[in-house]
Amino acid sequence: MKYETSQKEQKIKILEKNKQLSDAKNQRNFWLITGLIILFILFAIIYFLAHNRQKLRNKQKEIETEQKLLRLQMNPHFIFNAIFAIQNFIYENDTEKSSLYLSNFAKLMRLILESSRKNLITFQDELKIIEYYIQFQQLRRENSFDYKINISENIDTENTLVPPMLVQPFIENAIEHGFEDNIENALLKINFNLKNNYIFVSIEDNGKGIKKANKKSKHQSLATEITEERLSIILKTKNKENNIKIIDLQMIDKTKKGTIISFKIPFIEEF
Amino acid sequence: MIKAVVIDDEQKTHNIVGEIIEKEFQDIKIVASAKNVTKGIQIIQKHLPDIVFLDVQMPDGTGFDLLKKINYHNFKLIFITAHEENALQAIKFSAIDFILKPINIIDFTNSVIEAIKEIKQDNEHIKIKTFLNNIENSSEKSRKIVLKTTENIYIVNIKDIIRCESENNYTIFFLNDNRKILISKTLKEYSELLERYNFIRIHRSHLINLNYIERFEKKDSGLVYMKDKSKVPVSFRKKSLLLDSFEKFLNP
Repeated sequence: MKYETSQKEQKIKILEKNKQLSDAKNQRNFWLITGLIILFILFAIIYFLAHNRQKLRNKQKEIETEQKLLRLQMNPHFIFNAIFAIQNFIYENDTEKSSLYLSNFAKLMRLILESSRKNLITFQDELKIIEYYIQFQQLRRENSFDYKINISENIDTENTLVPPMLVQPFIENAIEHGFEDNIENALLKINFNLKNNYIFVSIEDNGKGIKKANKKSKHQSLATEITEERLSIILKTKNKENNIKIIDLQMIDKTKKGTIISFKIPFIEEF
Repeated sequence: MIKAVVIDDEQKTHNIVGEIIEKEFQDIKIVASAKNVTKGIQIIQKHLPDIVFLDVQMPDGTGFDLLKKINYHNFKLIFITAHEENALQAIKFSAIDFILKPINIIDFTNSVIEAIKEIKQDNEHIKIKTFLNNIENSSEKSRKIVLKTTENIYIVNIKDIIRCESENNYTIFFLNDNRKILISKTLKEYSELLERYNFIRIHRSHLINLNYIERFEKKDSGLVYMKDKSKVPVSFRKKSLLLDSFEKFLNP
Protein backbone atom coordinates (compact mmCIF):
# COMPACT_ATOMS: atom_id res chain seq x y z
CA MET A 1 0.00 0.00 0.00
CA LYS A 2 2.75 2.31 1.09
CA TYR A 3 4.68 1.25 -1.93
CA GLU A 4 1.76 2.14 -4.10
CA THR A 5 1.43 5.55 -2.53
CA SER A 6 5.05 6.28 -2.91
CA GLN A 7 4.81 5.08 -6.47
CA LYS A 8 1.89 7.42 -7.04
CA GLU A 9 3.74 10.21 -5.36
CA GLN A 10 6.67 9.51 -7.54
CA LYS A 11 4.41 9.55 -10.56
CA ILE A 12 2.98 12.85 -9.48
CA LYS A 13 6.45 14.13 -8.95
CA ILE A 14 7.48 12.98 -12.37
CA LEU A 15 4.38 14.50 -13.84
CA GLU A 16 5.04 17.72 -12.00
CA LYS A 17 8.59 17.71 -13.15
CA ASN A 18 7.45 17.06 -16.66
CA LYS A 19 4.99 19.90 -16.36
CA GLN A 20 7.70 22.14 -15.06
CA LEU A 21 9.90 21.05 -17.87
CA SER A 22 7.24 21.60 -20.47
CA ASP A 23 6.36 24.92 -18.83
CA ALA A 24 9.95 25.92 -19.10
CA LYS A 25 9.96 24.67 -22.64
CA ASN A 26 6.81 26.58 -23.37
CA GLN A 27 8.25 29.63 -21.83
CA ARG A 28 11.37 29.18 -23.89
CA ASN A 29 9.30 28.67 -26.98
CA PHE A 30 7.29 31.74 -26.15
CA TRP A 31 10.41 33.84 -25.86
CA LEU A 32 11.82 32.27 -28.96
CA ILE A 33 8.72 33.07 -30.98
CA THR A 34 8.45 36.57 -29.54
CA GLY A 35 12.10 37.08 -30.30
CA LEU A 36 11.63 35.85 -33.82
CA ILE A 37 8.60 38.08 -34.32
CA ILE A 38 10.47 41.09 -32.99
CA LEU A 39 13.41 40.22 -35.17
CA PHE A 40 11.13 39.82 -38.13
CA ILE A 41 9.42 43.16 -37.50
CA LEU A 42 12.82 44.76 -37.09
CA PHE A 43 13.98 43.30 -40.38
CA ALA A 44 10.78 44.39 -42.05
CA ILE A 45 11.27 47.92 -40.77
CA ILE A 46 14.88 47.99 -41.87
CA TYR A 47 13.99 46.57 -45.24
CA PHE A 48 11.17 49.05 -45.63
CA LEU A 49 13.39 51.98 -44.68
CA ALA A 50 16.21 50.83 -46.92
CA HIS A 51 13.79 50.21 -49.74
CA ASN A 52 12.27 53.63 -49.30
CA ARG A 53 15.66 55.21 -49.23
CA GLN A 54 16.65 53.38 -52.36
CA LYS A 55 13.43 54.53 -53.97
CA LEU A 56 14.12 58.09 -52.93
CA ARG A 57 17.65 57.82 -54.20
CA ASN A 58 16.42 56.46 -57.52
CA LYS A 59 13.88 59.26 -57.74
CA GLN A 60 16.58 61.81 -57.07
CA LYS A 61 18.79 60.25 -59.68
CA GLU A 62 15.94 60.42 -62.12
CA ILE A 63 15.40 64.10 -61.38
CA GLU A 64 19.08 64.84 -61.78
CA THR A 65 19.20 63.07 -65.10
CA GLU A 66 16.13 64.92 -66.21
CA GLN A 67 17.80 68.19 -65.42
CA LYS A 68 20.87 67.16 -67.31
CA LEU A 69 18.65 66.20 -70.19
CA LEU A 70 17.08 69.61 -70.14
CA ARG A 71 20.47 71.21 -70.28
CA LEU A 72 21.43 68.94 -73.11
CA GLN A 73 18.37 69.84 -75.10
CA MET A 74 19.09 73.44 -74.58
CA ASN A 75 22.52 72.88 -75.99
CA PRO A 76 23.70 76.46 -76.33
CA HIS A 77 25.74 75.47 -79.33
CA PHE A 78 22.60 74.53 -81.18
CA ILE A 79 20.70 77.67 -80.18
CA PHE A 80 23.47 80.04 -81.15
CA ASN A 81 24.03 78.23 -84.39
CA ALA A 82 20.38 78.73 -85.18
CA ILE A 83 20.48 82.40 -84.32
CA PHE A 84 23.65 82.82 -86.31
CA ALA A 85 21.99 81.23 -89.32
CA ILE A 86 19.13 83.69 -89.05
CA GLN A 87 21.58 86.55 -88.91
CA ASN A 88 23.12 85.21 -92.07
CA PHE A 89 19.79 85.21 -93.89
CA ILE A 90 19.18 88.77 -92.72
CA TYR A 91 22.50 89.85 -94.19
CA GLU A 92 21.54 88.18 -97.41
CA ASN A 93 18.28 90.17 -97.30
CA ASP A 94 16.29 86.99 -97.52
CA THR A 95 13.29 88.05 -95.45
CA GLU A 96 11.14 85.06 -96.25
CA LYS A 97 13.80 82.53 -95.41
CA SER A 98 14.78 84.22 -92.17
CA SER A 99 11.14 84.43 -91.15
CA LEU A 100 10.39 80.80 -91.99
CA TYR A 101 13.56 79.63 -90.32
CA LEU A 102 12.83 81.58 -87.20
CA SER A 103 9.26 80.38 -86.81
CA ASN A 104 10.34 76.78 -87.39
CA PHE A 105 12.93 77.24 -84.70
CA ALA A 106 10.21 78.52 -82.34
CA LYS A 107 7.97 75.56 -83.17
CA LEU A 108 10.74 73.11 -82.40
CA MET A 109 11.53 74.88 -79.13
CA ARG A 110 7.88 74.69 -78.10
CA LEU A 111 7.71 70.97 -78.83
CA ILE A 112 10.91 70.29 -76.94
CA LEU A 113 9.88 72.32 -73.91
CA GLU A 114 6.47 70.67 -73.77
CA SER A 115 7.84 67.16 -74.06
CA SER A 116 10.71 67.55 -71.63
CA ARG A 117 8.26 68.01 -68.77
CA LYS A 118 7.00 64.49 -69.31
CA ASN A 119 8.60 61.12 -68.61
CA LEU A 120 6.97 59.50 -71.59
CA ILE A 121 5.48 60.92 -74.75
CA THR A 122 3.74 59.19 -77.64
CA PHE A 123 6.07 57.86 -80.28
CA GLN A 124 4.12 59.98 -82.74
CA ASP A 125 5.11 63.17 -80.89
CA GLU A 126 8.72 62.02 -80.63
CA LEU A 127 8.79 61.47 -84.38
CA LYS A 128 7.39 64.94 -84.89
CA ILE A 129 10.27 66.42 -82.89
CA ILE A 130 12.79 64.37 -84.84
CA GLU A 131 11.37 65.42 -88.19
CA TYR A 132 11.11 69.08 -87.22
CA TYR A 133 14.64 68.98 -85.96
CA ILE A 134 16.03 67.35 -89.08
CA GLN A 135 14.10 69.64 -91.43
CA PHE A 136 15.30 72.60 -89.45
CA GLN A 137 18.88 71.42 -89.81
CA GLN A 138 18.32 70.85 -93.52
CA LEU A 139 17.16 74.42 -93.91
CA ARG A 140 20.19 75.63 -92.06
CA ARG A 141 22.56 73.51 -94.12
CA GLU A 142 20.69 74.19 -97.32
CA ASN A 143 19.65 70.58 -97.89
CA SER A 144 23.22 69.32 -97.91
CA PHE A 145 22.01 65.97 -96.59
CA ASP A 146 19.07 63.61 -96.95
CA TYR A 147 17.33 61.52 -94.34
CA LYS A 148 15.24 58.39 -94.06
CA ILE A 149 13.21 57.22 -91.11
CA ASN A 150 12.19 53.56 -91.05
CA ILE A 151 9.67 52.32 -88.56
CA SER A 152 8.83 48.64 -88.46
CA GLU A 153 5.20 47.99 -89.28
CA ASN A 154 4.41 46.38 -85.96
CA ILE A 155 4.82 49.68 -84.13
CA ASP A 156 1.60 51.59 -83.68
CA THR A 157 3.03 55.10 -83.26
CA GLU A 158 -0.11 56.54 -81.67
CA ASN A 159 -0.30 53.94 -78.95
CA THR A 160 3.40 53.59 -78.16
CA LEU A 161 5.10 55.60 -75.43
CA VAL A 162 8.78 56.52 -75.43
CA PRO A 163 11.05 58.65 -73.22
CA PRO A 164 11.35 62.05 -74.92
CA MET A 165 14.39 63.23 -76.84
CA LEU A 166 16.49 60.10 -76.63
CA VAL A 167 17.39 60.07 -80.29
CA GLN A 168 17.83 63.77 -80.97
CA PRO A 169 21.33 64.17 -79.48
CA PHE A 170 22.67 61.42 -81.77
CA ILE A 171 21.01 62.97 -84.80
CA GLU A 172 22.58 66.24 -83.83
CA ASN A 173 25.98 64.55 -83.58
CA ALA A 174 25.59 62.87 -86.94
CA ILE A 175 24.72 66.15 -88.63
CA GLU A 176 27.05 68.47 -86.74
CA HIS A 177 30.08 66.18 -86.64
CA GLY A 178 29.56 63.37 -89.14
CA PHE A 179 28.54 65.75 -91.91
CA GLU A 180 30.83 68.52 -90.73
CA ASP A 181 32.80 68.82 -93.96
CA ASN A 182 30.12 68.75 -96.62
CA ILE A 183 29.99 65.15 -97.74
CA GLU A 184 28.51 64.11 -101.05
CA ASN A 185 25.26 62.13 -100.91
CA ALA A 186 25.19 62.58 -97.19
CA LEU A 187 22.46 60.36 -95.81
CA LEU A 188 21.10 59.99 -92.33
CA LYS A 189 19.19 56.80 -91.59
CA ILE A 190 17.13 56.28 -88.47
CA ASN A 191 15.57 52.90 -87.78
CA PHE A 192 13.04 51.80 -85.22
CA ASN A 193 12.48 48.06 -84.95
CA LEU A 194 10.13 46.33 -82.57
CA LYS A 195 11.32 42.92 -81.40
CA ASN A 196 10.83 40.94 -78.16
CA ASN A 197 9.14 43.84 -76.43
CA TYR A 198 11.99 46.23 -77.13
CA ILE A 199 12.30 48.96 -79.70
CA PHE A 200 15.74 48.77 -81.26
CA VAL A 201 16.90 52.20 -82.36
CA SER A 202 19.75 52.87 -84.72
CA ILE A 203 21.10 56.12 -86.09
CA GLU A 204 23.38 55.69 -89.05
CA ASP A 205 25.24 58.28 -91.07
CA ASN A 206 27.72 58.04 -93.92
CA GLY A 207 29.81 60.92 -92.61
CA LYS A 208 33.41 60.98 -91.61
CA GLY A 209 33.10 58.43 -88.82
CA ILE A 210 33.13 58.85 -85.08
CA LYS A 211 36.85 58.03 -84.64
CA LYS A 212 37.79 61.08 -86.65
CA ALA A 213 34.99 63.29 -85.39
CA ASN A 214 35.50 62.45 -81.76
CA LYS A 215 38.80 64.24 -81.45
CA LYS A 216 37.12 67.57 -81.72
CA SER A 217 33.92 67.40 -79.79
CA LYS A 218 33.11 67.30 -76.14
CA HIS A 219 29.37 67.56 -76.64
CA GLN A 220 29.35 64.25 -78.40
CA SER A 221 30.58 62.34 -75.39
CA LEU A 222 28.36 64.31 -73.06
CA ALA A 223 25.32 63.35 -75.10
CA THR A 224 26.34 59.72 -75.02
CA GLU A 225 27.01 59.82 -71.31
CA ILE A 226 23.67 61.35 -70.41
CA THR A 227 21.80 59.01 -72.71
CA GLU A 228 23.63 56.06 -71.13
CA GLU A 229 22.52 57.27 -67.75
CA ARG A 230 18.94 57.70 -68.88
CA LEU A 231 18.91 54.28 -70.49
CA SER A 232 20.23 52.63 -67.35
CA ILE A 233 17.32 54.14 -65.42
CA ILE A 234 14.82 53.14 -68.08
CA LEU A 235 16.18 49.64 -68.62
CA LYS A 236 17.11 49.19 -64.94
CA THR A 237 20.58 47.98 -65.88
CA LYS A 238 23.62 48.44 -63.67
CA ASN A 239 26.31 48.53 -66.28
CA LYS A 240 25.52 51.69 -68.12
CA GLU A 241 28.44 51.47 -70.56
CA ASN A 242 26.76 48.57 -72.35
CA ASN A 243 23.57 50.43 -73.11
CA ILE A 244 24.78 52.10 -76.28
CA LYS A 245 26.74 50.54 -79.09
CA ILE A 246 28.84 52.90 -81.16
CA ILE A 247 30.45 51.58 -84.31
CA ASP A 248 32.73 53.40 -86.70
CA LEU A 249 31.95 51.74 -90.01
CA GLN A 250 35.49 52.13 -91.29
CA MET A 251 36.72 49.91 -88.46
CA ILE A 252 34.65 47.04 -89.85
CA ASP A 253 34.86 47.67 -93.55
CA LYS A 254 37.64 49.83 -95.01
CA THR A 255 35.48 50.77 -98.01
CA LYS A 256 32.75 52.21 -95.82
CA LYS A 257 32.48 55.44 -93.94
CA GLY A 258 30.23 56.64 -91.19
CA THR A 259 28.93 55.82 -87.77
CA ILE A 260 26.16 53.63 -86.38
CA ILE A 261 24.75 54.27 -82.94
CA SER A 262 22.34 51.70 -81.59
CA PHE A 263 20.45 51.08 -78.39
CA LYS A 264 17.19 49.63 -77.22
CA ILE A 265 14.28 50.99 -75.23
CA PRO A 266 11.43 49.05 -73.67
CA PHE A 267 8.26 48.83 -75.70
CA ILE A 268 5.46 50.51 -73.77
CA GLU A 269 1.89 50.73 -74.96
CA GLU A 270 -0.41 53.43 -73.69
CA PHE A 271 -3.72 51.57 -73.83
CA MET B 1 -13.29 93.68 -100.12
CA ILE B 2 -12.71 92.10 -96.72
CA LYS B 3 -12.01 94.55 -93.92
CA ALA B 4 -9.44 93.62 -91.28
CA VAL B 5 -8.00 95.35 -88.21
CA VAL B 6 -4.86 94.57 -86.23
CA ILE B 7 -4.77 95.24 -82.48
CA ASP B 8 -1.40 94.60 -80.84
CA ASP B 9 0.92 96.75 -78.77
CA GLU B 10 3.98 95.68 -80.72
CA GLN B 11 4.78 97.45 -83.96
CA LYS B 12 6.45 94.25 -85.20
CA THR B 13 3.12 92.46 -85.40
CA HIS B 14 1.65 95.29 -87.47
CA ASN B 15 4.59 95.15 -89.86
CA ILE B 16 4.56 91.39 -90.32
CA VAL B 17 0.78 90.96 -90.58
CA GLY B 18 0.56 93.94 -92.91
CA GLU B 19 3.26 92.59 -95.15
CA ILE B 20 1.89 89.06 -95.39
CA ILE B 21 -1.68 90.29 -96.05
CA GLU B 22 -0.48 92.67 -98.73
CA LYS B 23 1.55 89.98 -100.44
CA GLU B 24 -0.77 87.00 -100.19
CA PHE B 25 -4.31 88.34 -99.91
CA GLN B 26 -5.26 91.01 -102.40
CA ASP B 27 -8.92 91.01 -101.37
CA ILE B 28 -8.18 91.81 -97.71
CA LYS B 29 -7.54 95.36 -96.63
CA ILE B 30 -6.26 96.40 -93.23
CA VAL B 31 -8.55 99.36 -92.62
CA ALA B 32 -7.21 100.37 -89.22
CA SER B 33 -4.85 99.35 -86.46
CA ALA B 34 -4.46 99.97 -82.76
CA LYS B 35 -1.84 99.45 -80.07
CA ASN B 36 -4.03 99.32 -77.01
CA VAL B 37 -7.46 98.21 -75.82
CA THR B 38 -9.09 101.68 -75.78
CA LYS B 39 -8.09 102.48 -79.32
CA GLY B 40 -8.93 98.93 -80.38
CA ILE B 41 -12.53 99.31 -79.20
CA GLN B 42 -12.83 102.56 -81.14
CA ILE B 43 -11.61 101.14 -84.43
CA ILE B 44 -13.82 98.04 -84.19
CA GLN B 45 -16.90 100.16 -83.51
CA LYS B 46 -16.04 102.55 -86.29
CA HIS B 47 -15.09 100.10 -89.04
CA LEU B 48 -17.14 96.98 -88.18
CA PRO B 49 -14.37 94.75 -89.56
CA ASP B 50 -14.71 91.20 -90.94
CA ILE B 51 -11.47 89.97 -89.41
CA VAL B 52 -9.83 91.06 -86.16
CA PHE B 53 -6.25 90.11 -85.34
CA LEU B 54 -6.05 90.50 -81.59
CA ASP B 55 -3.17 90.38 -79.13
CA VAL B 56 -3.72 88.94 -75.64
CA GLN B 57 -1.51 91.16 -73.46
CA MET B 58 -1.60 94.91 -73.97
CA PRO B 59 -0.54 97.75 -71.65
CA ASP B 60 -4.05 98.95 -70.73
CA GLY B 61 -5.70 95.53 -70.55
CA THR B 62 -6.07 92.26 -72.38
CA GLY B 63 -7.69 91.27 -75.63
CA PHE B 64 -10.34 89.60 -73.47
CA ASP B 65 -11.20 92.93 -71.83
CA LEU B 66 -11.63 94.39 -75.26
CA LEU B 67 -14.08 91.67 -76.29
CA LYS B 68 -16.07 92.20 -73.12
CA LYS B 69 -16.41 95.91 -73.72
CA ILE B 70 -17.80 95.76 -77.25
CA ASN B 71 -21.24 94.61 -78.30
CA TYR B 72 -20.41 94.01 -81.92
CA HIS B 73 -18.91 90.53 -82.22
CA ASN B 74 -19.73 89.67 -85.77
CA PHE B 75 -16.21 89.29 -86.99
CA LYS B 76 -13.81 86.43 -87.47
CA LEU B 77 -11.41 86.59 -84.55
CA ILE B 78 -7.81 85.44 -84.69
CA PHE B 79 -5.75 85.73 -81.54
CA ILE B 80 -2.06 86.42 -81.83
CA THR B 81 -0.16 85.28 -78.77
CA ALA B 82 3.32 84.28 -77.69
CA HIS B 83 2.88 81.81 -74.89
CA GLU B 84 0.13 82.53 -72.35
CA GLU B 85 -0.89 78.99 -71.48
CA ASN B 86 -4.11 79.79 -69.63
CA ALA B 87 -5.26 82.05 -72.40
CA LEU B 88 -4.63 79.34 -74.96
CA GLN B 89 -6.72 76.92 -72.95
CA ALA B 90 -9.74 79.21 -73.01
CA ILE B 91 -9.23 79.97 -76.68
CA LYS B 92 -9.16 76.28 -77.57
CA PHE B 93 -12.37 75.61 -75.66
CA SER B 94 -14.18 78.15 -77.81
CA ALA B 95 -12.74 76.85 -81.07
CA ILE B 96 -11.39 80.32 -81.77
CA ASP B 97 -8.38 80.48 -84.02
CA PHE B 98 -4.98 81.60 -82.80
CA ILE B 99 -1.53 82.22 -84.21
CA LEU B 100 1.63 81.88 -82.20
CA LYS B 101 4.47 84.39 -82.22
CA PRO B 102 6.89 84.39 -83.94
CA ILE B 103 4.47 84.25 -86.81
CA ASN B 104 4.93 81.35 -89.17
CA ILE B 105 3.91 82.48 -92.64
CA ILE B 106 2.42 79.09 -93.54
CA ASP B 107 0.30 78.85 -90.38
CA PHE B 108 -0.76 82.45 -90.74
CA THR B 109 -1.81 82.02 -94.35
CA ASN B 110 -3.80 78.89 -93.51
CA SER B 111 -5.60 80.67 -90.69
CA VAL B 112 -6.55 83.56 -92.91
CA ILE B 113 -7.78 81.27 -95.71
CA GLU B 114 -9.93 79.49 -93.12
CA ALA B 115 -11.14 82.85 -91.81
CA ILE B 116 -12.25 84.01 -95.25
CA LYS B 117 -14.29 80.82 -95.63
CA GLU B 118 -15.93 81.29 -92.28
CA ILE B 119 -16.83 84.95 -92.61
CA LYS B 120 -19.87 83.97 -94.62
CA GLN B 121 -21.13 81.51 -92.04
CA ASP B 122 -22.04 84.28 -89.65
CA ASN B 123 -21.52 82.37 -86.42
CA GLU B 124 -18.39 83.91 -84.98
CA HIS B 125 -20.31 85.81 -82.31
CA ILE B 126 -21.36 82.46 -80.82
CA LYS B 127 -17.75 81.41 -80.30
CA ILE B 128 -16.83 84.77 -78.81
CA LYS B 129 -19.82 84.65 -76.47
CA THR B 130 -18.80 81.20 -75.27
CA PHE B 131 -15.25 82.37 -74.85
CA LEU B 132 -16.39 85.32 -72.71
CA ASN B 133 -18.61 83.03 -70.65
CA ASN B 134 -15.69 80.73 -69.97
CA ILE B 135 -13.25 83.38 -68.86
CA GLU B 136 -15.84 85.21 -66.72
CA ASN B 137 -17.26 82.19 -64.94
CA SER B 138 -14.55 80.56 -62.98
CA SER B 139 -17.01 77.99 -61.63
CA GLU B 140 -16.50 74.71 -63.38
CA LYS B 141 -20.18 73.99 -63.62
CA SER B 142 -20.85 76.64 -66.21
CA ARG B 143 -17.87 75.85 -68.44
CA LYS B 144 -18.81 75.41 -72.06
CA ILE B 145 -17.11 74.02 -75.10
CA VAL B 146 -17.70 74.88 -78.74
CA LEU B 147 -18.06 71.94 -81.10
CA LYS B 148 -17.86 72.82 -84.75
CA THR B 149 -19.09 70.59 -87.56
CA THR B 150 -19.21 71.56 -91.20
CA GLU B 151 -22.86 72.55 -90.96
CA ASN B 152 -23.36 73.50 -87.35
CA ILE B 153 -21.76 75.03 -84.36
CA TYR B 154 -22.77 73.61 -80.97
CA ILE B 155 -22.21 75.12 -77.57
CA VAL B 156 -22.17 72.36 -75.01
CA ASN B 157 -21.96 72.53 -71.23
CA ILE B 158 -19.01 70.41 -70.24
CA LYS B 159 -21.08 68.89 -67.43
CA ASP B 160 -23.57 67.62 -70.04
CA ILE B 161 -21.03 65.48 -71.85
CA ILE B 162 -21.36 61.86 -70.80
CA ARG B 163 -18.54 60.47 -72.86
CA CYS B 164 -16.60 60.72 -76.12
CA GLU B 165 -15.72 57.96 -78.48
CA SER B 166 -13.20 58.03 -81.27
CA GLU B 167 -13.87 56.85 -84.73
CA ASN B 168 -10.77 57.09 -86.90
CA ASN B 169 -9.91 60.77 -86.85
CA TYR B 170 -13.34 61.81 -85.64
CA THR B 171 -14.77 62.10 -82.17
CA ILE B 172 -18.37 61.35 -81.26
CA PHE B 173 -19.79 63.27 -78.31
CA PHE B 174 -22.58 61.60 -76.33
CA LEU B 175 -24.60 64.18 -74.43
CA ASN B 176 -27.04 63.72 -71.57
CA ASP B 177 -30.00 64.71 -73.73
CA ASN B 178 -29.25 61.71 -75.97
CA ARG B 179 -27.72 63.84 -78.68
CA LYS B 180 -24.70 62.56 -80.56
CA ILE B 181 -22.34 65.02 -82.25
CA LEU B 182 -19.60 63.98 -84.64
CA ILE B 183 -16.58 66.29 -84.78
CA SER B 184 -13.62 66.05 -87.11
CA LYS B 185 -10.94 66.27 -84.44
CA THR B 186 -9.07 63.48 -82.70
CA LEU B 187 -9.99 62.14 -79.29
CA LYS B 188 -6.47 62.99 -78.14
CA GLU B 189 -7.11 66.71 -78.59
CA TYR B 190 -10.31 66.57 -76.56
CA SER B 191 -8.85 64.39 -73.85
CA GLU B 192 -6.09 66.96 -73.36
CA LEU B 193 -8.70 69.72 -73.06
CA LEU B 194 -11.19 67.89 -70.86
CA GLU B 195 -8.90 65.99 -68.50
CA ARG B 196 -9.03 68.79 -65.94
CA TYR B 197 -12.82 68.52 -65.77
CA ASN B 198 -13.05 64.99 -64.37
CA PHE B 199 -12.75 63.34 -67.73
CA ILE B 200 -10.49 60.35 -68.07
CA ARG B 201 -9.37 58.40 -71.07
CA ILE B 202 -9.88 54.81 -70.01
CA HIS B 203 -9.40 53.30 -73.41
CA ARG B 204 -7.79 54.17 -76.67
CA SER B 205 -11.20 55.07 -78.12
CA HIS B 206 -13.04 56.20 -75.00
CA LEU B 207 -13.01 59.32 -72.89
CA ILE B 208 -15.54 59.33 -70.06
CA ASN B 209 -16.94 61.87 -67.62
CA LEU B 210 -16.50 60.48 -64.09
CA ASN B 211 -19.75 62.20 -63.09
CA TYR B 212 -21.70 59.77 -65.23
CA ILE B 213 -20.30 56.49 -63.99
CA GLU B 214 -23.04 54.29 -62.64
CA ARG B 215 -21.12 51.13 -61.92
CA PHE B 216 -17.66 49.71 -62.45
CA GLU B 217 -17.37 46.02 -63.06
CA LYS B 218 -13.92 44.97 -61.88
CA LYS B 219 -13.62 41.57 -63.46
CA ASP B 220 -11.11 41.12 -66.28
CA SER B 221 -9.77 44.48 -67.31
CA GLY B 222 -13.00 46.15 -66.36
CA LEU B 223 -16.19 47.54 -67.80
CA VAL B 224 -17.79 50.84 -66.94
CA TYR B 225 -21.58 51.19 -66.97
CA MET B 226 -22.53 54.78 -67.65
CA LYS B 227 -25.75 56.45 -66.51
CA ASP B 228 -27.06 56.48 -70.07
CA LYS B 229 -26.91 52.68 -70.01
CA SER B 230 -23.89 52.51 -72.30
CA LYS B 231 -21.04 50.16 -71.49
CA VAL B 232 -17.48 51.31 -71.95
CA PRO B 233 -14.49 48.95 -71.93
CA VAL B 234 -11.46 49.79 -69.81
CA SER B 235 -8.03 49.20 -71.23
CA PHE B 236 -6.10 46.90 -68.94
CA ARG B 237 -3.28 49.42 -68.61
CA LYS B 238 -5.72 52.11 -67.50
CA LYS B 239 -7.59 50.14 -64.86
CA SER B 240 -5.56 51.36 -61.89
CA LEU B 241 -5.64 54.92 -63.20
CA LEU B 242 -9.42 54.75 -63.38
CA LEU B 243 -9.69 53.33 -59.86
CA ASP B 244 -7.37 56.03 -58.49
CA SER B 245 -9.18 58.83 -60.30
CA PHE B 246 -12.54 57.54 -59.22
CA GLU B 247 -11.35 57.35 -55.63
CA LYS B 248 -10.09 60.93 -55.81
CA PHE B 249 -13.26 62.04 -57.47
CA LEU B 250 -15.42 60.54 -54.70
CA ASN B 251 -13.22 61.79 -51.84
CA PRO B 252 -11.59 64.93 -53.06
